[in-house]
Amino acid sequence: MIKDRPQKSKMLRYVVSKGWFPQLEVLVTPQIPTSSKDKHLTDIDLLAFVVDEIKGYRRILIDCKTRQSDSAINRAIWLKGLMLQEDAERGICILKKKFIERDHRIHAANLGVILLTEEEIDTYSNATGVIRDEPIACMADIENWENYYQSFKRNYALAAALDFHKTGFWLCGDSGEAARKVIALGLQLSGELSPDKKEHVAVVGDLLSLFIHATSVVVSRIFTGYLHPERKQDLADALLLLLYGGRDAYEFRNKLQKLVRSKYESDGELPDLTLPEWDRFLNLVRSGLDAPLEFAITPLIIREIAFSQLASENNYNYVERKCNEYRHILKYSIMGAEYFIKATRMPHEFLSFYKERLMSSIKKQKGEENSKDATYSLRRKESDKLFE
Amino acid sequence: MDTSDRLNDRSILAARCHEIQLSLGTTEVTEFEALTEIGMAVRLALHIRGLPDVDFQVLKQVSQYFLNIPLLAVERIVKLLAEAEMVQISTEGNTIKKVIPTVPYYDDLYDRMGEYATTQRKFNEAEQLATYLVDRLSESPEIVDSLKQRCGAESKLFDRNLKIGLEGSYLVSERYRGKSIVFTPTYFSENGEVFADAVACQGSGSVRKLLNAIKSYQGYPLSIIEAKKNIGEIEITDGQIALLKRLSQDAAIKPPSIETSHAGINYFLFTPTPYSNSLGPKKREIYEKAMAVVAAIRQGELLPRRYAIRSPRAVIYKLRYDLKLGKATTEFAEQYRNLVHLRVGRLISIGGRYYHFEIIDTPENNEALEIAYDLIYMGEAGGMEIDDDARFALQQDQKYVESIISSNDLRRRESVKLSHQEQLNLEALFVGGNLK
Repeated sequence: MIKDRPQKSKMLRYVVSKGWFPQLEVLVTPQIPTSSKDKHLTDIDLLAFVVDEIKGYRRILIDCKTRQSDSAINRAIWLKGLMLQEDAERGICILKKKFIERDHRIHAANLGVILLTEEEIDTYSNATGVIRDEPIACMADIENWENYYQSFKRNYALAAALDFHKTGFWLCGDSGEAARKVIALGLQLSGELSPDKKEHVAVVGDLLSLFIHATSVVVSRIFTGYLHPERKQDLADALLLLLYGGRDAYEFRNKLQKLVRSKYESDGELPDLTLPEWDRFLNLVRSGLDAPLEFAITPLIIREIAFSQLASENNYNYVERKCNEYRHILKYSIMGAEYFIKATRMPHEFLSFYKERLMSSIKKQKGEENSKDATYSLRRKESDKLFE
Repeated sequence: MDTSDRLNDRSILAARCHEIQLSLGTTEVTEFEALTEIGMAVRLALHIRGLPDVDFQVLKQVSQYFLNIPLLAVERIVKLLAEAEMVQISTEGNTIKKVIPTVPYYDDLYDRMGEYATTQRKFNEAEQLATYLVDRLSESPEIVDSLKQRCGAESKLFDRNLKIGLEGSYLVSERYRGKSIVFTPTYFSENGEVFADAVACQGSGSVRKLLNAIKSYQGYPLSIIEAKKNIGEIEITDGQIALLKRLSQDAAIKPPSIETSHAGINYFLFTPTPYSNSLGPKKREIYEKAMAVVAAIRQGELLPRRYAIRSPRAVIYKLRYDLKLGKATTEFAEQYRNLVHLRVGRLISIGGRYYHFEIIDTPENNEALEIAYDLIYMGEAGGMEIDDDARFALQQDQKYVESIISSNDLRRRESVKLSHQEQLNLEALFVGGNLK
């Protein structure tokens, strides 16, 4: 059972309702670990990612505390420290108190932290335009997160995926590194994943959503630096440097891989280090540059499909709604899934599943559009053209 | 026939010993004695078959250098071959001077060696299990747990045998869909990951049935299988068709294809190339040419526009001995275009859209035609396991062999072979670095 469950449950619903990308229970480890065993310093109860035109995402840290003795301002100052470490601009701290001193609230607000009592969550949600009562999405239901964590207890071979989901991904110094590491993890786990198991379908979807999340920041950096690179080679050069952390780091790794490969690949010239399925990746990124903000929203629907596998009842309303709202995200989801599943050599049935699931949301909308207005119909037709 | 029954076929037993020994190379296994001996004897016999008398010193050096038979064991193996009536030995005192090969042709070699093995040697439990495993896996990869249950061996013995197989490289085990799949690289090093994945997904029975169907009709076009859902009289399921499509779309080594104006692009399916893990580039090229020949003939047989081939065997026979086909047709240009690219033959225009087809008379093309004939006639080709360099060296004098062995330029480099999982791990390491 997740600690401080009721508070986290409410805030999770809040984050998803706002259209932010949620991540529960991120473990924070030392930036320079000295111990041979992984020891975490603290944890972030809920991390939310808000789409940002310049940075890709802005981070919001949410801290839930159920001990009544916790001092409000102490928590705020602690959270500010964590915000600095995690490069987050805002924090929300939920406290199990009846009353919070006004001075504490104002001081905390100056630090970028909002202090709320448990009872104030609903008032805050309502005031910021969030509908509370109806089911929002599978990933907004904390029970599905518990199911997700539980599924790893039955399969030790996938433990690395849980570690990565909670720590490894968020530890990466930059998004290029994070994108590479998701692919590397996918390659390592590909032999363990079976499309017949719902939990495995969820693991693949979760990794895919993290991959698109990281790639989205890379897309955003390319967009702000190059807008739309005119030549494929320009895009490829820029991407390699972003992915591998600069020219020096790339050259070093490239030389090393050639040296190793020369020991077992005797014939022909050795290729430069890129990513698996490089041309497909270039195409994905170039496509993302057409609508980088929508690319940044895409991880939401992938994670939603993944978590719907863990729910007692499959419900894809959220996915359909988002696809209806944003014209590009369906295309980005399919392209991202195609790239990731091929690059990591996962069984092709995973791709078929995600593709069919995504395409069916279009079909459903097509059915609905007959009874809706003509403007909506025109918009869907444009979207359909993308898949012809 | 069940595998345990199949091993009663003596020729299969000898063949499996040979395959195991070929993969083991210089690796010694304490549990194996008779198996190693028979395996080495088959290997040597295959390479001296049809040769005139061979100087024993040359034989010793070639056996060690090319065939991985230790120097000290060569005399023992030659004497074994003499006992099995496959060689005559010329001696001076106790010293062997010459070896005169009298190795029987065709499968009689395996048959006689198998007979010798069953009557003159006793296989221990580990050896019996090893030959059983390799024989079972020659038809399809298997899920390790199912194989363990099926073979009924003691768990410890099975695990030890599997370990020997993996370390000795005659077995490969990889993880697919959360299951451990084991296969033999002798038959499944080519596109092994596609077959292993299919076994994890559909079970080995389905893959075995499919490969046996293809073996009975090598070079059958995928489009016809898709349309009719059978290969000859054997029904093919949708799952099996999906596997065949994957081979033609995603596999590292794709089946040959022919594009014609009347039938579009067609893929022609073959069982995986045997011994592809140890084939030299020259032998591989010859096998590819053979498959292209079979594909061209199947195109004419099963997907003609107007001039259908009624007897594929007769066509290959004619190409092999007359080096050309009887009359020109308008279909040859498309049907045999790939053979022109592979330099197996040439198309000669006689006006209009009519072309003659002729074979370019080289030893490689003749060997390719023989392999093509075997593929159509028997479903498999023999001789893939023969190292032509070794046979050539056996016919030279000792000075020449010594010069080959001492020459740095011709020295064989030990190359590191990575398994599918090792390749993935290495790729993951370069792409992702150390994963937390």
